[in-house]
Amino acid sequence: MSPRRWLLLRRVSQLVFLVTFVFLLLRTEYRGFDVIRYPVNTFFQLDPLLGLATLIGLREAIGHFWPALLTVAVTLALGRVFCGWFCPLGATLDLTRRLLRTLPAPRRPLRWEGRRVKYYLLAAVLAAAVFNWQAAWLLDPFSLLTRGLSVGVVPAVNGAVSAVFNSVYFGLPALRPLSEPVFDLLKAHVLTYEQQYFRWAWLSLGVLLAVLALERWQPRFWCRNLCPLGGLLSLCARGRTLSRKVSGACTDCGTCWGTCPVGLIEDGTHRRSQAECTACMRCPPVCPEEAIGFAWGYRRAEAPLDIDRRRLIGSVVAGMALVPLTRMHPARATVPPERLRPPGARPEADFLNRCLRCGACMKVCMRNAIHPALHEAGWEGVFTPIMDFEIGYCEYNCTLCGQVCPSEAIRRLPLQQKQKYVIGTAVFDKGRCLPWANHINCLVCEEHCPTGEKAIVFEEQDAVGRDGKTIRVKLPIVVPERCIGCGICQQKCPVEGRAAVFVTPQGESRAAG
Amino acid sequence: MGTTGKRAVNEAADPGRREVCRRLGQVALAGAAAAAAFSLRELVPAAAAPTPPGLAAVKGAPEAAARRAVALLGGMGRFVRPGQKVVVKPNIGWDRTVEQAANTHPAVVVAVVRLCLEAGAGEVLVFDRTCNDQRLCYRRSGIEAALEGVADRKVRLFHPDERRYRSVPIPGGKALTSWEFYEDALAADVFINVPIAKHHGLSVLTLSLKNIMGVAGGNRGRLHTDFDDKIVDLNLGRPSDLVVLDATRILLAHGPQGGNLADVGHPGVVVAGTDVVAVDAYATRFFAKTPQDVPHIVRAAERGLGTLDLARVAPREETL
Repeated sequence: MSPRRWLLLRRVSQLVFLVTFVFLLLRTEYRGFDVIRYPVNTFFQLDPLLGLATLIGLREAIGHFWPALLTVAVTLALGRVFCGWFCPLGATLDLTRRLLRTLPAPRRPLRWEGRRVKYYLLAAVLAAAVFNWQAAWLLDPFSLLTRGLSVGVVPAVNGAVSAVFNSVYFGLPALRPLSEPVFDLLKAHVLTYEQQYFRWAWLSLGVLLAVLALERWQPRFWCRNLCPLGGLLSLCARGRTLSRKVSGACTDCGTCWGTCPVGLIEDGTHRRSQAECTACMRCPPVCPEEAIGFAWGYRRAEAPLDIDRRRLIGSVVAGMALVPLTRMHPARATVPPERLRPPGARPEADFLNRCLRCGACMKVCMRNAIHPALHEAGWEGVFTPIMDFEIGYCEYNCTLCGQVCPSEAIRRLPLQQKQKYVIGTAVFDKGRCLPWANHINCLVCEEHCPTGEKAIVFEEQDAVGRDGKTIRVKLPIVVPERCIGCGICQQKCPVEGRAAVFVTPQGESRAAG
Repeated sequence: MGTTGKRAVNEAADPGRREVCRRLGQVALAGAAAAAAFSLRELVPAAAAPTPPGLAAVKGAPEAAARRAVALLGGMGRFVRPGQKVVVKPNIGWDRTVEQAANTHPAVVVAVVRLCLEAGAGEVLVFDRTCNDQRLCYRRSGIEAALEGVADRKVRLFHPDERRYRSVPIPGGKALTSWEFYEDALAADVFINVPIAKHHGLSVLTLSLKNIMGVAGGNRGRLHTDFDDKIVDLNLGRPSDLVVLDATRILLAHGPQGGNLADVGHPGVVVAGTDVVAVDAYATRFFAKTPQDVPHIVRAAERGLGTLDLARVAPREETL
C-alpha cells in the first residue's frame, strides 16, 4: 500500500471511531425501551488510564476494564496508534485544527516544549489515586470529552437548532410545512427529546473548548504535552515492535520537518524512531526520496525518555499533597445537603474512587435530574453526579443511569431494588407550602408520589380563612420510612422559585458491593 | 337628478307588489316548515324509536362495552360527521401498566377511535399532557401499542408540542378568566373526553371533568388551588361533546397514580354520555359515593355545566 493510502486509512479510522463515539453518546438516551440497547460505555472500557487509576484506588481490579488490556497489548505491539487512529478526542483536535487554519496564523507560534509534563501529570494522578483521590477523571480524554459533549455541546447545539426552527415556526408560519418535518426528523434521530439544562455546564464545556482552542498555537497540544493517557501509552510504546524507519535514502532535505502533529520530526530528529509517534502516517508521503516507512522489530536512535527525576518526585509529592488539600472541605465533616447521589450509587468513598466524572448518567437521565457537582459534594467530588430536584426528578420505573455507568459507581440495580433505593428523604418547608402556610388546598406532591403506598399522605384540619370562614385544609405530611427521595414532589411543587418540599440526604441507601 | 333620486328612495322604502308576495311566501313557507318540524318532533317518539338516552352504562369487555355504550347514545354518527377533525382525550397521565388502573384502558381508546373512523372522521388526534415522562406514559399505558394496531393514517397519537398551547378567554369563567389550551383541542370539531375513573387525594375522584386538565397548558400545579371552580372553568374553555368513561377497572385508593394492585377495583363498566356532570355523577357509585361527596361535581352542576339529576338523562344500563 502506498504511503498516501496509509494516510487516508488513518483518517478514515479516526472518522469511523469519532462517528461511533458520537453516535453512542447520542444513544445514551431513552429510546423507547427501558434498557439501553447500545454498548454506550465501550470506549471507557478500552481506556487503560481509567482502569489503572481505579485499580490503584480500589486495590481491586474491576472486570469492566479488561478491554483496556487490549489497548495495552496493541500499544505494546504497534506503538501509540491509539492516539493517532482511535482516540475520538484526538480526531476532534485534528478537525478543530483544520477549522482553525481558516483563521490568520497566530503572530507568535508557540515554541514551548512541554512534552514531559504529561508524564509528570500521570505520576501525580497515580500518586493521588493511591490515596483515593481520583484526579485522573479530570484529565482523562474520554471523561473530558464525554462530559464536555453531554453537559455542554449537546445541550448547546440542541438549543441552537431548536431556536432556529422555532423562529421559523413563530416568525414565518408559512414555511412550517417545510421546516417542521425536518425538525421532527432531527428530533427523532439527532436532538435530545427535551432541552436539558445542567448546573455548571459552562465549566465542563469550557475545559473542552480550552483543550480545543490550544490547537491554534500548537498542533495536538493536549496530546503531546498534557494527556496523562497519552503519557501512559507512550510509556507502553517504548516496548513496541512496529516502528518508524528512515532508510539511507534520506538526504536530510528537510521536507518532512514540521509535518509531525506531535512535533517529533524537526531538524536533527527526523531520522529517529520515537515512542511518542502516533503512527499518523503524515510524514511518509511527503518524503521525495520515499525514505520514510514503518518496519517491524526496527529500533534506532530511540529518543531517551528524558524525564527529570527530581521533577518526577516533585510530581508524585504534589499529587499526594493535593489529597489533603482537596479534603479541606466541610463535606468531609458532615453530609452536605446537596449531595444527593443517583439511585444505586455506592458508599461515598467507593463512589469517589470509581466515578469517572464522564457525565453519561447526566446525559441519559430522562428527567434532567442528574447534574455535575462543582463544590456541592466536596472538592474531591468535582464533576461527580448529584441530583437537582428543582430542575428534574427521578422516574420511578427508570434504571438508565445504572445501566450506562462505565465503572459501576452507580450500580445497575434491578427495577424492584431501585424502587426501594433511598436517594434521600423529602421534607416540607411549612413556611412556603400552600396548605400549611396559607390554608390553600393543593396536594400536587401527594398526587405525584409514586411509591404505591404513598410516602406523602395528608391530614385534614379545619382552619380559619382570612375571610373568617372555616375551611377544610388537606395538609401534606411525609412518611419517612416510605420516602425514596425521587424528588418528583419537589419538581412538581407549584410554589415557584424554591419548592415547598425538598429532598435531603437523610436515610440514603448507598448500595454496597 | 331630482326625479331619479326620488324614485330610488321609493324603490327602497316601498317594495313592489311582486316583491311583497315573494317575501310573504317565504315567511309562510318557513313557518310551515317549522310547524311541521315541531309536530314531527312531537310525533316521532310516540311513533318510532325513542330518543337516545343522555347516558349509557354497559358492563362487558372493554372494547365491546365502549362500542355498545356509544351505540346506545345513538351511535358515533350522532357526534362525528364525515371529514371532521376529532380529538380523543384519554387519561395517559402516568407511567403505569393497564392492570394498575391509572390510565384509560387501551381497548376503550381503540374502540372510540375506531368508532370515529367508522363515522367517517377526517382525522382522529389522540394525546394527553402527562405527569410522568411523556414517552414512558404512552408506552407503559399500552395506548401507544394499541393505536399502532389500528394502523390508520387518519389516527395520530402524538406528544403535545409546548409551542402549541394557546391562551384563550373563558367566557363565564370564575376563578380563571383565561387559560392556555392545546391548539388541536380548541380547533377540534368534536372533542371526546375518555377518562378513567380514579380516586384522587385532592378532588376525591378524578373523572371526566378533571380529565380536561390534560389539554390545559401552563403551570397545572397552580390549578390545584381553588380547584373546584377552576375545573369548571376549564370545562367551559373546552367543553366535551361526548364522554366515554372507562370504569372497567378503577383505582379505589392512592390515586391518581396508584401502583398497588390491591387498590384496583373491577366494575367492568364503560359509561358514555353527553353531559359531563351526569356521567361523573353516575360514576361516583363505583366508589360507593354520591355526587355530593365530590365537591367539584356539585360545583359544576351549580354553575350549569350539566345535571346531577340522572332521571333527566334517562340512563340506559346493559350487561353484555
